[in-house]
Amino acid sequence: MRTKTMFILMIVAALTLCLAASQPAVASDEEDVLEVLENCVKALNTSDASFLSSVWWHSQNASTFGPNKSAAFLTQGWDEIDKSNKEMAKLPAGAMSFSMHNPQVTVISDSVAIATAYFIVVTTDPATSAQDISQDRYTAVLKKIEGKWLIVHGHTSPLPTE
Amino acid sequence: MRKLTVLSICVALVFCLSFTTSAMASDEEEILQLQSNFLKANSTGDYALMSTLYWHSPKTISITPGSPPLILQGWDESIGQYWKMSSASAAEPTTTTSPLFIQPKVTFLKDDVAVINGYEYFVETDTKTKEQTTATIRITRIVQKIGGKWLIVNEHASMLPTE
Repeated sequence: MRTKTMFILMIVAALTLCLAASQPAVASDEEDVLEVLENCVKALNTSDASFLSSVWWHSQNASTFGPNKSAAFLTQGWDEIDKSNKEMAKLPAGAMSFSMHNPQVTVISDSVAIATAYFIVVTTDPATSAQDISQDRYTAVLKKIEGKWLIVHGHTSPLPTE
Repeated sequence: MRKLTVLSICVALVFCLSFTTSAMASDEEEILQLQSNFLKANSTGDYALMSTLYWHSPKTISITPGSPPLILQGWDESIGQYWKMSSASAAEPTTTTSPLFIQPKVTFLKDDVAVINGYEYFVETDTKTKEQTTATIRITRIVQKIGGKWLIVNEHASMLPTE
């Protein structure tokens, strides 16, 4: 009887240990994904195209929908995405200022996560200093490849006004 | 003897490869059927059908092209309510809708997770005036195979930007 109780206790202890070990891994994945997004915002604000390059999946299957007319249709393949990132990096520092709000990360499997957030973008015309502001909703799909979270798809859309 | 072994391995590999490819093809067909059912449920206000297409979880997220709400989270809490209201207003339609899904693209991230991209194109006809309007919506729909069935776990739908 005593042996049986001990055995059950050991199983419970082992299960608790497994559960405790798995919890930080999930939390860590969420934190890692959030860090990728936060660093993307920093990279956008500092026109750091090389950082943006490091967090995108360099594949023909990577794709993105942009927030405006020039990026209205699906940009497909890393080469095309890289071109548009590099164009953005050519803008003078401070021309576009990004901030992210209410980010939410859902890890849907051991190697796929989805992040949603709001973006506020303040654009300053370098010549006239005239400013414009836009608000976007953002979804990023990320995949963990060789231990690193990479963006495989992005969808940015202007906040509807009607 | 050696030739026979090599031949057997080759046949087994070809068999495995064709099996995997056909499984993927079948999954892609099921995913496109899900997308087709979404359009059907949306245009006819069929809440019961719509309900079968989503993951009923507090983690499910939906960004719809209109506003408000801005971001819907959770089937019971938000998304289900949204579709219930939509289907109620569709009970007495003022327009008829012909939806199309254009340039479908399915990207598999894992065997059981995929992303659908494409454009939903709607032609709405006013039932009284017969006046027609069109709308193009960009789609990102993340689907996951849960309990053997492909379900929407996250979506972002937005109007095609014109500015």
